[in-house]
Amino acid sequence: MLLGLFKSLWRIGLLVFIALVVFVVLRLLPADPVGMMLPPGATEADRAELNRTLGLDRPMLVQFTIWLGKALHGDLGTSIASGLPVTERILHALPTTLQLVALGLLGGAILGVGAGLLAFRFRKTPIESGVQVANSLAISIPEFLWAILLILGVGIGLQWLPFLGPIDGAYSVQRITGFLLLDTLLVGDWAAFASVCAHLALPVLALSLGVAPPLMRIAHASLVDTYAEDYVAAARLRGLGENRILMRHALKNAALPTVAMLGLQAGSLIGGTLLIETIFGFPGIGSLMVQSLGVHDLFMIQGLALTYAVTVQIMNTLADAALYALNPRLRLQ
Amino acid sequence: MKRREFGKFAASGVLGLLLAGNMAPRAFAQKAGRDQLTLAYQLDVATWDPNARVRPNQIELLKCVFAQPLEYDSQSRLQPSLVTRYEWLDDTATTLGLDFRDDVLFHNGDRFTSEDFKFTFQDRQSEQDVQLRFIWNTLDRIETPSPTRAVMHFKSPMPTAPEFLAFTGGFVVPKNYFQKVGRDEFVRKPIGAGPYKLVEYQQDSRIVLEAFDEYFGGAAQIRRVVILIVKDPTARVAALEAGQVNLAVNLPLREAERLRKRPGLVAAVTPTVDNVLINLVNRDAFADKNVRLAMHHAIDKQALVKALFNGIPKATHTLAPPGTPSYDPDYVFPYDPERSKALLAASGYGPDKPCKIRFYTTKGINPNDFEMARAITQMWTRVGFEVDLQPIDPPVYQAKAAAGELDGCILWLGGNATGDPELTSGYALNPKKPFSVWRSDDCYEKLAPLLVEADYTRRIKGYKAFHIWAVEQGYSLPLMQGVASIVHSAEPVGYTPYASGWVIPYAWRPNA
Repeated sequence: MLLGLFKSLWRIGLLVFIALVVFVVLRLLPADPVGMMLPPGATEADRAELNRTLGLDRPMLVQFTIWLGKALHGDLGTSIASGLPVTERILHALPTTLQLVALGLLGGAILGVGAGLLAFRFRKTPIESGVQVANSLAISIPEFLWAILLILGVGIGLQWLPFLGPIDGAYSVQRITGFLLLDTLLVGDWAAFASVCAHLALPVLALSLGVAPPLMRIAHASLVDTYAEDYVAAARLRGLGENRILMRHALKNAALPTVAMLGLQAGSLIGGTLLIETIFGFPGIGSLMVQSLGVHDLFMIQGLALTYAVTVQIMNTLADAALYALNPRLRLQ
Repeated sequence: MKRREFGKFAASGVLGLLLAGNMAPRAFAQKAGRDQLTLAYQLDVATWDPNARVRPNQIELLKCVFAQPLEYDSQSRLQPSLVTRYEWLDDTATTLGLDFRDDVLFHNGDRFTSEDFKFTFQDRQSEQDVQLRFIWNTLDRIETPSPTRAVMHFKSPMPTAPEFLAFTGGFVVPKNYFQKVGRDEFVRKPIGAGPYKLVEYQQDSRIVLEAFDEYFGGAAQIRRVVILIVKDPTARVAALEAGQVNLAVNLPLREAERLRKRPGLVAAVTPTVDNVLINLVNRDAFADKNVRLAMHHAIDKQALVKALFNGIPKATHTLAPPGTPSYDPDYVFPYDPERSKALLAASGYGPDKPCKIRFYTTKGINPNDFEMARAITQMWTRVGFEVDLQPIDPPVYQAKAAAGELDGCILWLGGNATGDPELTSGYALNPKKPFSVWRSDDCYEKLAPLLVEADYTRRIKGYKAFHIWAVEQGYSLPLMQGVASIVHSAEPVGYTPYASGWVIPYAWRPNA
């Protein structure tokens, strides 16, 4: 209980610290967001007035205190570039990113654990070597390069799957939750649902191919360790088949390090969406961040950085909870 | 259902859905014929309040939905739009009379009157977040003697008012609807008097437009326009190759040339009325006129044009590129590396004592910007400069320029769809403007009369002379015209390139 409380307080403190660092760094950069908004014919008075309107003429600490006070009430300020509320824009874009991350993790887990199982089940055979070579290849290619290769091969070459935007231009889906997969199901538009699935396939695969290789290695190594345990030998003596021992007994015990790795991967995966969203034209927070950095939209960058930090913390918490549920020894401690 | 059967069923289902999804875009691409267009565009609108933001300039997108008092045609000539006739009512450029059309409807059926014009350009200046006021801050008041007549009164001369009535932020909004629903609702459901109605908007993803049949200029031939926001140029190229879009803008030139060879695709790489130039600062080695002129004489503009842009843009020798009113075809600043060396020697520089300069450039913002800067660096090095080439982001450049802390010259694209000289040299060389780069009193002495000159012919003639003088002083080094790089499918035909580089779907005439 106390440990949980301490962890929560520590995480809140960490978030405030991250917010402060981002705030200070952005203001120390020699870049002028106001200059990007004013017409070239603007006067010095116009520039001063806009700075005053945006509160950029106040001392940095005052600016941060005001921003933090409002952020605690859910108001992350107004985008300099668009004049729209930052919170509204982030909430609009966040479901797209979360959907990509969730499916990327799911795909990565299936591919990684599946490959680990396959390699282990056929250990000391050419299949194990083949999986390991494929894994080494996959681990050396970053997600954005996978994205480009998939677009070139599957999108342009074979023309099997679309790769532009989250849904085909022919469909209009009423926004209910913001999660397009869910929204198409809720409105019962199966054709739109199929279109969303097809549009998600390549970006999710690109993300999954970044997640899978470390998971495969961990799953494989954990299985090797688990098979050295006495209960595996005992299961064999009881006459259980290899597949049953692997799936029913060894896999569950080998899962803990894999879940811990998945938690870590989740944190880095959300950063990976920056390029994936830009390449595939997905309107998520990664794409929004790239756009905001280009025009030095201070309030938007601050809001997005905080959103990233909060999301990573939530994912770490979920990974901790999963480990806690899977490992009885953690509960006893 | 048993678990194994469910597994098979689920796998088949997912495969079926993917195949169905695969069919959908192909079917859609086939449907994209003469009356439908899908564009890949690099930027979303900042907001659907067309007066709120004047930069970044999304005039092309906003022009689809909103009408402007005047407008620029494909040759960047000022044309009537909502305004049928305009005239200065005095000789000081402080009173502008405007006559409007009487047959203009907004998308909601409201009739456009001079009250809408007054509301847009005068009343909305009281809204703090409306940046239109930074352009029209010299406006005193607007009189509306009749629904089709308005008179603009300025506190100080604004000879470029007609040009700005066709430029960024100058879109008329319907007063009654705006006041009835409020700004937030207007942004959600914008109503304009432009050629297209906004029927769907997914922020940062897509804009869907449908032709407005009652548009005062006649209904658009392309009935439906889907604009996909694709920020990555590689993805825009890929979308064209896969047939997912009909047109993609702002493509790397090499890609445009490659795509030109593919059947069914047409590359439209055209020069624009923008000017690529090097802005100088009044400090360090640049304070020496010999050094500035040596820099200019050392640049082989023809070689740059040919090597980097396939000879498409023309080299420029003054601050007004071809196609703009103050362009002077007779003036040529010669490429002469020997003269360059002599000028450097006259200022005490030579092979043993190179002239050290810092040179900033954007990288990947404009076509071949960094490549051009590297080539120029080589040219300068050959005549006796030691160049420290550094990439710079536009916000950093703006901050340094405004603070007077820019410590080097910069390769810059002087974008100016209006072509009016005041918007380029009138600002860039005006020491009283916060974002000017070269700042000297002699510039302002020559500029000041032009900034208030009401007679258009005299003003343009004055700028022509000013441009030549500024180049001969070495205050700015013009290089070449800008380039618009667009690739589109052969169908629908009728794409019209704009000298401003704008892509205007309304101008497509597939049935012509």
